[in-house]
Amino acid sequence: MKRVIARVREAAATRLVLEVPGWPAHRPGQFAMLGLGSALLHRDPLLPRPMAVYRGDAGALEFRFKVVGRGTRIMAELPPGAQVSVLGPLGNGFAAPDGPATLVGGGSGIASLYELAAARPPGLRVLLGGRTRADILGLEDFEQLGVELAFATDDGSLGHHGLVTDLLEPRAGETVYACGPLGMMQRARELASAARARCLVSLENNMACGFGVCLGCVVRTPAGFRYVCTHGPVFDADTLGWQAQA
Amino acid sequence: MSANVDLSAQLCGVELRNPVLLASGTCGYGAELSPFIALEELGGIVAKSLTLEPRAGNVPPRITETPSGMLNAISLENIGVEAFIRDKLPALPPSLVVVASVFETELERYAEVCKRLDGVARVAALELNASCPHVKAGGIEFGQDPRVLAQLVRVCRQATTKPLLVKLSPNVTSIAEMARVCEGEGADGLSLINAVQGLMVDVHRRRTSLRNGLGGLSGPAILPIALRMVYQASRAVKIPICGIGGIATGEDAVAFLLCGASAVQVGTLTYTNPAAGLEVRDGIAAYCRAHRVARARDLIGALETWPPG
Repeated sequence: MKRVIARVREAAATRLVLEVPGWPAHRPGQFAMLGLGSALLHRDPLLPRPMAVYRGDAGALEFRFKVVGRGTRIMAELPPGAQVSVLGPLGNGFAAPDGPATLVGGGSGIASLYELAAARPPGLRVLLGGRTRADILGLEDFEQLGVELAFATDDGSLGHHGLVTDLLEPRAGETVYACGPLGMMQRARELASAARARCLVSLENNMACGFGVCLGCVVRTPAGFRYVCTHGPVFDADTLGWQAQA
Repeated sequence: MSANVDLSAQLCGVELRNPVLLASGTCGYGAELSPFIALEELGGIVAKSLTLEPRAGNVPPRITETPSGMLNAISLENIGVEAFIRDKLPALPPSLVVVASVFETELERYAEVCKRLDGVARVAALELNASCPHVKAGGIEFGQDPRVLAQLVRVCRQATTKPLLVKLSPNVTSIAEMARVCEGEGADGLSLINAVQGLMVDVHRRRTSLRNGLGGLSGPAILPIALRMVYQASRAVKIPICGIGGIATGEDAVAFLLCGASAVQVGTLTYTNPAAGLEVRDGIAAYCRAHRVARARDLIGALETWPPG
């Protein structure tokens, strides 16, 4: 974990590439806090944004996102060369699959899954969903991996016309990795449980710090509060109190 | 970075390496920051407020961003005083000045927490959290009513021989009155300000942004409010003041010193940058070099007055 000042190589509506000197190795599913106002000493916007690492390679990190508010709009419009503070890698990340695995991604949650897919573990299936074709972040990247891949969209513009979980048929003993809307992850958990498969979910939440001091990112579980930043963002789906989250 | 400038400070008789501490509730119990900074380089830390028993805090959502600030209603989630003494204190660097923050819901319980910490050699001073603005049964009454505040300081004063700081609520009509009350009951120093009561609305969902409704506003948005209150309090009492409120730079910290603070606490900015406290320290040193100030403590209360207009 460290904090470095990165420079924007490329920014667009759903994609941010940063040159991050000295970035430590990260695991799939880990995240970083991106400080957008670092040149303004963080005064406005004050808080850094938690963002899943989409992929990283020698000295550069790529993030994929949807513009949902002020922070992501600023991200999308960053000029090349702009300074962004990067704190990370943070969180636990995904445990590597020890057998067959199915990845289920919905909307911006897809960004957490790319590196897991890119490792191409044997028996991998990837299911990606969104409201419409344009919501499938990194569509071309996933297609180039040559893995078993299926899509679902609410409007039928790509793949199955319906929910991505309609495509999920967990295999006994496999691990289902899910990241997306709560309802999607909850359904993935039900299907996995019924098939005697394990289900890991990656949660997102508002957070101010990302390293366990603001305590803003709690989720309720039967065992009490858990922090998305330090206990997660990846949780065994069976340990979460699903009804309490909704 | 700080060569040639004497940054040393003193707060209620406690010697500090420099005048920059980290504020309670923004640095956990210290160890959370160890991956990022050498804690012992700070003037000190004020650990997260402690209650007699562990406490879970409010149901989320409990933070939201605001213009140049943030609003929180964590409600003082903490591991309890015993776990702090047993598990957290021993892990901290021996030369780090540790101030314990105390919070409770009843006078007697406040005193009990103070008593428990009184015998703990590793704790340099106590800071009474009398001002948390989002706890229905707690801080708000203690910090907002001068008579209740007086009772609180009195029972805690009797419960500890350690230097006793009182962290004041800004949600009062007269900060000077509250400062005088604390001084009169034997407080050794004041920390101000705590978060300012606020409210944010998610207009799309037509709900308050926080489930609790009200929250405490912190960050650069409250800096001028905090400066004003430090300015007023420092003119009302003789005990030292630790200035808090949206400090992001060395110059922000210098402004608090000029208004009469003997030391400062960096709070919300640590969320955005775990090294914020050390950068503020370096900024104070840079200011001193640029303005040929030999000792940072020479800045305390050194605000110049305007000539008659």
